Amino acid sequence: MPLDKELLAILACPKCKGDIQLNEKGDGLVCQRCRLMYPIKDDIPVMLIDEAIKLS
Amino acid sequence: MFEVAEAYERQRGRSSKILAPLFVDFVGVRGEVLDVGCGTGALTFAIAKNPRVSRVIGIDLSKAFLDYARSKSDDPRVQFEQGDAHKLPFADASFDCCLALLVMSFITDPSKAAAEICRVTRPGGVVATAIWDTTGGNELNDALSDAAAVIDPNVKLLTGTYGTAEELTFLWASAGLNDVQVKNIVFACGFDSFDDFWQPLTEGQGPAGAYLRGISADHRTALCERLRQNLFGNRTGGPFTLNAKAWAIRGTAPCGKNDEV
Repeated sequence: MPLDKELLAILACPKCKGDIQLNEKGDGLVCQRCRLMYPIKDDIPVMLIDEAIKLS
Repeated sequence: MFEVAEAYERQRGRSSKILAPLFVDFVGVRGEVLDVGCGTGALTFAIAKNPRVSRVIGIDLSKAFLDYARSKSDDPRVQFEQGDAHKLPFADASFDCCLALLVMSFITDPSKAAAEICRVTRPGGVVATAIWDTTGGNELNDALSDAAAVIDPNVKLLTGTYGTAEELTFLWASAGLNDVQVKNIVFACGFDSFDDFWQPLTEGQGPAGAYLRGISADHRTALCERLRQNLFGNRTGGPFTLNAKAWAIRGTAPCGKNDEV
């Protein structure tokens, strides 16, 4: 099942513990402060700093 | 060691599914709950059975185990995500209860993980874990360890850390938890036959599986026969039961520094 809004509200960046937002495509969670995107694979958010994608 | 969910389920699923509800009863879950190191979801689903739970999130490092757990769930209150117990992806004070079943002995830095679990627990919330008892009488784990030690006296199999009440109490007290309670949970685990017990051990999952993959075929055969002899003696085989023992510990998260009077 897709990510619900309540889960998004409870999830935080594992690095800075700050807010994250779903990206436009809906396939990643973005921390603007750390400039990192945590991918969502098979509907499971991958909240690992090592696997986060650096944003330009 | 933790990659093939179906094989792990065959080896450990049976005992985890008995232990999980006993652990949940001891903890007393409610509200929003986090399952740290949820693996294939035995504890996550036991937590979700409690109607006082509004949400349970299972978090684990293994994507394969999470995919397996997710495929077994159709409860909208249950969610899974990949994450590291040392760096939990949650704001402070996000959960009413945080539980970890049979994971603290596999965590690189248990003190750091315990502190991180406390951080995401609301003041007054419950933080709890359970670990296999390594102080003796835990036949489920000791059966293989004892047989292995006959062949290799230096073997260190399944003798993980935090298998004593003292170690767990120290870890929980060091994390600043209050009202710490410990319980020894004992239960029986049944097997249909020797192969029902042995075969899943040979599939490479968990510490026992990793050990059996690492020894030679001759060593493995000798160990198999020793284990069979220890379990059955002169009997030909058939169903049998092993006692399993785990330590469970729970504590209450303290008020944050800003909340202290």
